[in-house]
Amino acid sequence: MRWCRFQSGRTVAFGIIGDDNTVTEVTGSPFAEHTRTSNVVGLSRVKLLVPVIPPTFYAAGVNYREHVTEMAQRRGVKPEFPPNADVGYRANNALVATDEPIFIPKDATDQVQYEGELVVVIGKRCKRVSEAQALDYVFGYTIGNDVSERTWQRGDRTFWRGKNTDTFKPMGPSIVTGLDPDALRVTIRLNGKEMFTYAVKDAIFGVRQFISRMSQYLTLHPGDVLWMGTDGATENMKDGDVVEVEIPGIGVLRNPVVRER
Amino acid sequence: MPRVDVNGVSLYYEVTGHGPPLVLAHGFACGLRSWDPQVKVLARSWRVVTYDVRGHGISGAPDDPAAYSQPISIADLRALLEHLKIRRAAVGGLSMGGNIALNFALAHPEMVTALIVADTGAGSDEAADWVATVHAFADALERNGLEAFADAALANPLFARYVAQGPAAERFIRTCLMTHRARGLAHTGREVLSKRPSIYSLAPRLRELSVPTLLIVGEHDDPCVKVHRFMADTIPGARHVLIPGVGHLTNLEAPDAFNRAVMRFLREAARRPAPTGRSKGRRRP
Repeated sequence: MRWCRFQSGRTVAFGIIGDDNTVTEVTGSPFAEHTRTSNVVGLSRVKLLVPVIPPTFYAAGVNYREHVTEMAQRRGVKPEFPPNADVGYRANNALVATDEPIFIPKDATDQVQYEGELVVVIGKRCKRVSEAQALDYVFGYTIGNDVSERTWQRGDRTFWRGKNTDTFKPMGPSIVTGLDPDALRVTIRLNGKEMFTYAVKDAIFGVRQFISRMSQYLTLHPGDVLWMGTDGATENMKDGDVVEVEIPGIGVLRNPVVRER
Repeated sequence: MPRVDVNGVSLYYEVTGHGPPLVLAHGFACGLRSWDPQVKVLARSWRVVTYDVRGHGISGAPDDPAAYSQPISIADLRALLEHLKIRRAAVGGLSMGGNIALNFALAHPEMVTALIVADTGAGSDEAADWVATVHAFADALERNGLEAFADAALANPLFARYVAQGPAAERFIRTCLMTHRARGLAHTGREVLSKRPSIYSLAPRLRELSVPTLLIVGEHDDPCVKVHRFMADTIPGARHVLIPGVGHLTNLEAPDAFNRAVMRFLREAARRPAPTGRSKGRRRP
C-alpha cells in the first residue's frame, strides 16, 4: 500500500494512492484507526506534502563503507568506520516535500551536497525488541535527501545548520508498506545524470540492527523516521540543479536547488 | 556503479567473491536481489556475477517492444561476460533465467564450463494457455502498475508456497516483484516469455549438449517438473535434483539445499571433463 499526505484546496489529509493514480482521502492516522472517505482525487491534481511529520527524526549518519572511504580521502584522513549502530538526530524545520526547492543560504559555501537514502517509518510503539522482531514495528519506507553543507558540518560545534538548515531535508514522495529494505536499491541523479547507485543491504548496520539497538534505550513511536545514511561520493549542488533520489518500489524524490540571493 | 551498455541498453550487474566465474540469471520479475541467498554462500568459492536482465530492476527498460526477445537476452549475457573479460563461466538461471542459461549454453557451449538450470519450463506444456496468461498479466501491468502486479503474483501458485513461509518471505518477494519498470516487465512477458521456443522443441540440440548440466526443480513446481524430467532424459549426463517439499522458487524456498546441490555439482564439474553419456538416474540433494 502507498500512503501520502496531500493538500487539495483547503484539505490537508493522509491519503492512499491507488493503482489508477488516484488519491483516496483517509481520516485518522495511518498508524492507528483510520477510514477511507469517498473523496477521491487524481494524483496529478493534489500537492504532495512531506508524507509524515515525525515525532522524532532519527538519522543513522555515517553507515556505508564507500561513503566513509570517499569522504575521508577528500579530507586526506584515514577512514574510520562506526563500531556501533549509534543514531543521530535531524530537525523537522528542515523537512520539505518532493518538488519543493532546496534553498541554499547566501553565505553557504559551494559545498552543499546531496545524500540520497532510504527512510524507515516506524508503525508501532517499540521498546527493547530483537533484530528478528525489528521489521514487525516498521510501517513502511520512503526516501530522504540528507542535504549537507560540508564546511558547517565540519566546522560548527553541532550539526544545527550543516544538516538542519530549512529545506535541507527533502522527504517523500510517499510511504510504501510491505517491503524488505535489504532488497532495495538507491539511485541518485543530478540533472538527469546517474551519480551513484547502491544496495541498501550494503549498510554497515542494517535497519534491523538500528531499530533493535535504539529500542534498548529509546522508545520508538508511530511516525518516527530513521534515515539510513548514504553510500558513495557526494557532489556539490548549485543553483538551478535538480536532484533526484530514486528507490524502485517506492518512487522518486525530486527537488530543484535554488541559491538565495 | 557497475553498469555496462550492451545492445542498446544499460545493464546493471554485481560481481561478488573470487574464484572461477559463475553467472546467474534471475527469474521473470525477480531481479538480481533474488540471488542474494546464493551470492552470500557461493561467493566464498566462486566469482559470482548477477545482473538485472533487460526490462528488470535498474537495467534499461526500452519503450520499443522490438528491443526484447530471447535471442537479445542471450546476446546481452554474452556481452556482459565479454565486458567482464570472462571467456568461460559456469552459467545458471532459474525459471526465465534458466531458459536464458540453457539457450546461452546451446548458442555458446565453448563459453560454458557448467550449466545450472533451475525451475525452468513454464509454458512448454499448454502453450496456448501460457500465451494467454502472459498477455493478461502484461496488460494488467501496464494498466494497474507494479504494486497490483505484486499483489496478484503473491497469490499465484508459483510464488504462494514461498510466501507461506511467513512475513519475511512475503516482504522479500514482494520487494523483488515491485522493483522494476512496469513497461519492461510487460514487454518481457509478451516478447520473451510468450514467444520463446518450448523446451521440448529444443530436443535435437539438447541431445548434442556436451556441457556438464545440473537440473534443479522443486517437487511441487507443477509447470516445470515434467519438463525437468524431459531435460534429464535428453541432455547427456545431466544431473537431476528434485528438492522435496518446495515449489517454483527453489533458491529462496530451500536455499541450503539449492546451494549444496550447486556447490557439489560445480566442484565435480571442475574435476572432470564434460560427460557424453545419457542420464542414468535421478538424485536428491
